[in-house]
Amino acid sequence: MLSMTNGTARELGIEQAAMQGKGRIGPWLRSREYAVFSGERWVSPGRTGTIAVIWSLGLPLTLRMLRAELRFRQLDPESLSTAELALPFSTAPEPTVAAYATL
Amino acid sequence: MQGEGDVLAAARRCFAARPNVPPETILAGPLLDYVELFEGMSGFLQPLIWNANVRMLRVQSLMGDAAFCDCDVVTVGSYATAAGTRLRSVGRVTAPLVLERAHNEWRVVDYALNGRRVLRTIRLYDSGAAVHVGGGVTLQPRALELAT
Repeated sequence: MLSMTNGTARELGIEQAAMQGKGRIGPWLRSREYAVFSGERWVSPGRTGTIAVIWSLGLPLTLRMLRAELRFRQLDPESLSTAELALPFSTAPEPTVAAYATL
Repeated sequence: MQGEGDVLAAARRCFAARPNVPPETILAGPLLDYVELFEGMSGFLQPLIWNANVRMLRVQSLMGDAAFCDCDVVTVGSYATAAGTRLRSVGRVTAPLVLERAHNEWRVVDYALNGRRVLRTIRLYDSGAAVHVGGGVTLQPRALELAT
C-alpha cells in the first residue's frame, strides 16, 4: 500500500507498476510482473490518494529490498513520467524474506 | 488454567467478528496498525461474506499478559472491489496464535496464516520513507505484505 501526493496542477494517475520477475523476454533472462491496483489510482491536484498495489511474483523472494518501477500519467496536457520505488522488507538480521516464503 | 476462558473467548471473537467489527476491539500491535490502514482506505475491498470454521483451539501457555494458543481455523471470505469484481479468499490459521492483555482485555497480536507468521509477512513504513519522485509527486509507502 502506498500514498501518492499530487503536487502538480494536473490530475495524476499511476498507470503501471512493474517488478522484476522470472522468465525470459527474447534473449533476456528476466521478465516483468505487472501490478493490479485497487484504491485511488487517480489523484486530483493538491490531494493525496492511497492505493493498494498487488504483484503476483513468480519467483521465490530472496531479497530484503523490493524495487518497483512506476509509471505515471498526467492529464490535460497528457504526459508520462517514471520513477523507481525501493521497498525494504526486512531490516532484521534473520529471517529473510526467503525464509518467510518457505515457512 | 486461570484466565484460559477469557483467552479462548477473545480468540473466538476475533475469528468470528472479522471483518465487520472495529479492529481495535479484537486486534492489537502492528497487526492492528496494518488492518486499520486498509480499513481506512477508500475504494478498497468491501467484505460480502465471512466465515470462520474453528476446528481446534486450545491454550498452550498463559504467562502474565501473554497467551499462546494452538489452533486450526479455516476462514473463507468474499469481497467486492470498487469496480464490482468479486474476490474469494480461503485462509488457514494455525499456531502460534498469540494474544496480549491490556486494560484487562485480550487482543490477538499474531498468528500463522497459511503457514506464515503474520508479523513476519507485513512491514509498516513510517513517514521517513516518503520519496519525492520529481515533478511535484511524492510517494509514501505505507505497508507491504507478503501473501499467498
